[in-house]
Amino acid sequence: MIEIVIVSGKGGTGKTTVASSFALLAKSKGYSLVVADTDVDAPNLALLVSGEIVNRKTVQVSEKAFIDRDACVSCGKCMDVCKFDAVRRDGEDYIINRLYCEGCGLCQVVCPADAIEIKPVDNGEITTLKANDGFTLVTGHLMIGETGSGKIVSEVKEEARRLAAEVDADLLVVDGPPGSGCAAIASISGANYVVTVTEPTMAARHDVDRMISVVKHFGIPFGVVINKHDIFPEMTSQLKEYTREVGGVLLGEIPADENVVHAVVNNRSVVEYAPSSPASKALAKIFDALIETINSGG
Amino acid sequence: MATESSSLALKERFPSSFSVTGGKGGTGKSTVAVNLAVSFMLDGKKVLLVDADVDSPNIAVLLNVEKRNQRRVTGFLPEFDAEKCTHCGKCVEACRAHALILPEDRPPMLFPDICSGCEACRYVCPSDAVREKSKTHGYVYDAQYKDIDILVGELEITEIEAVPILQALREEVEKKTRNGSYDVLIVDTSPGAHCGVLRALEFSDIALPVTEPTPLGTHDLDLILQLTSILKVKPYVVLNRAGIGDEEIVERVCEKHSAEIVSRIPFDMGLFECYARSTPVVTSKPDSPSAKAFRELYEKIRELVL
Repeated sequence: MIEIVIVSGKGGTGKTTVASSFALLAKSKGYSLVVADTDVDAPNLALLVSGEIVNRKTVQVSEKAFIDRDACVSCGKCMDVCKFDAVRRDGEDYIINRLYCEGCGLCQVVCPADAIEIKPVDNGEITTLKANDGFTLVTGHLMIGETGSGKIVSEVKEEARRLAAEVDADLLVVDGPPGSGCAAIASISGANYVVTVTEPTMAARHDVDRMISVVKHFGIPFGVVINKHDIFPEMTSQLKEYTREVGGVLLGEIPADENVVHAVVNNRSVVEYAPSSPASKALAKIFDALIETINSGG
Repeated sequence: MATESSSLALKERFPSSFSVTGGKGGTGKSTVAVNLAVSFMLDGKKVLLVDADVDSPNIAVLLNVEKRNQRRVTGFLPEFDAEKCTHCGKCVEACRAHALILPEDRPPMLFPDICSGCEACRYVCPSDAVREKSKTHGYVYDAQYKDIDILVGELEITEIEAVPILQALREEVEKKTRNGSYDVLIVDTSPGAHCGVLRALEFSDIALPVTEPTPLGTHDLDLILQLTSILKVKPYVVLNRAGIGDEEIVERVCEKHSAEIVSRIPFDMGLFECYARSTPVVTSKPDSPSAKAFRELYEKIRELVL
C-alpha cells in the first residue's frame, strides 16, 4: 500500500479539491483505496463525499489536570510551575483552565497534598464513512479549542491504515491540514509520498517553503502541484525553479477555472462535477504523473 | 465527595483591539487584517498588527516588508548527567508526552521533537541528574510597513508547540501597548480552532471571522463561532468572495450563533491580483469593488473598537 499525503502550508490553495479528485480518479482507474481527512480542526472532505457512516467513536487524545478542592492546601505551587498559564487562583482555590491545560502533569508532580489528578478527557471523534463511490473515508475531528491536534491526526491515520490493510488497498490518500505545525507533521509522518499543493502568490510561496523544509526533514519524497498557475506567470516560473532546487518533482499545473468554484459551491469534487473542464483534465494528468513518479521510485 | 475544580478562566483582553480569524484556511483572513490595518493608518491611526498565525505567518509577506530584530523564544529541554543518573526511571514515568525512553544501561533518551518542555522530569529526579538545556520553540520579529508596527510570531520548522510563541507575543503586546502609544491592535490568527487559535482570539473581545459562501467555508464558520462563543468573544462575520455561491447558508449559520454579517466583500479579480503580488488593495486599486467594501468595513470596525 502506498500512502500519499496532500499538504500545502498555506490554507485554501486547493488541498481538498486535489484530494477528492485523486480519490475519484484512483477509483475510476480500478485502484482500491482508503481516504483519510486529517484536517482535524476543520474536516471538510466528508462534505464532498456522499455515503453512509459506518462507525463513529469518541477518542481521548489528551489529558487534563483536575484539582481535588478538599485535598488542596492552597500552596499555589501548581500555579507557580505551570508553563501554560493553566492554573488560576480564585480566593483560596486554585482552578485549572481546561482550555489551556496540556496535561503535562507537572502540577501533579509538585503538589505536596496529592490533590491533583491527571485524567484523559473525551475530546475527539473519529468517523468512518462508506462512500457511494466505493471507497472508505476516515475523518477525525478535534473538539473546539482542544489541544492534541497531532495526536488525533495520528489516530485517524492509524485507523485508516488498519482499514486499508484489511482490504489490502493499493492506496491511502490523506488530505492534510493547513500550516506546517503539529497537525501537519503528524499527517505526513510515515507517508510514502507527499503532494504539496501551492499557488503562484507570494504568501503561498512563503508557506510552501516552510512546509517543504519539514517534509525534507523527515526525508519523504515529494511532488509539487501548482494550482491556478496562470494567474501570476512570473511567480509560477519561480515556483517551478524552486521545486527543482529543493529536489521535488513538478507533478503538474492546474489552470484557474471557474468550474472548480462551482464544484465547491455545489459540494462536489470538480472531476465529477465538470469532468471535461480544464481543471479536471489537468487533475487527471497530475494523478497519472503521480502514479508514474511513485512507480518509478521517485 | 471531593469536588473537581476545572473551569474556563478567560484571559484579560486588550482594549481597542480585534482579531481576524476563520475556521477554514485561505478564506482571506490576512488580506482582511492587512487592508483594515492600512485603512486605519490612512485615517491617521497608529496600528499594532500582530501575526499570530505562527506556523504560516504571512503578514510581512503580504505587505512585502522584511522581518527584523529576531528574538528567540526558548524553552526547557532536559539533558541527563550519566554520572549522576541512577537509572530509577522516574523521569520516564513522569513524562506524559512520552518523549523519554530508558535504555537498559544508559541514561534516558530524549525525543526532543515531542518534548513540551514541562520540566516534570527535572522535578522528579531524585539525584539531580537532569540539567536544563535550552530549546528554540520559535521566534518573534518586528516589521514595519509605513507607519504600521508589526509583530510576527514564527514557529521553528518541525517544532510542534505553538503556545510559547503565543505567550511571547502576548508579553510583547503588553509591553508595547502599556504607554498608550497605539490606537488599535489587530491580531491575525491561524486557521482552524485549535489551541493556537484560541490563545490568539483571547487578545481581544472582538473577532472578525472571515468566511466564503461555500459549504466548506460555512461548515468551518460554524466551528469558529462555537469557539468565539466559548471564549465570550463577540464575532462580526466578514463574508468574502460574495457572489460566488449561496449566501443563505452563511446567513443561517450566523443566525444560529446570533452573529452579524458585518461585510460582504465581492469576488473581485483585482483583489486577487493585489493579493498574489502582495500589495494592499485599498491603496493599489482604490476604485475596485473590494477596496470599496473594505472602506465600508473599516468605518464599521472603527465605530466598534475606537
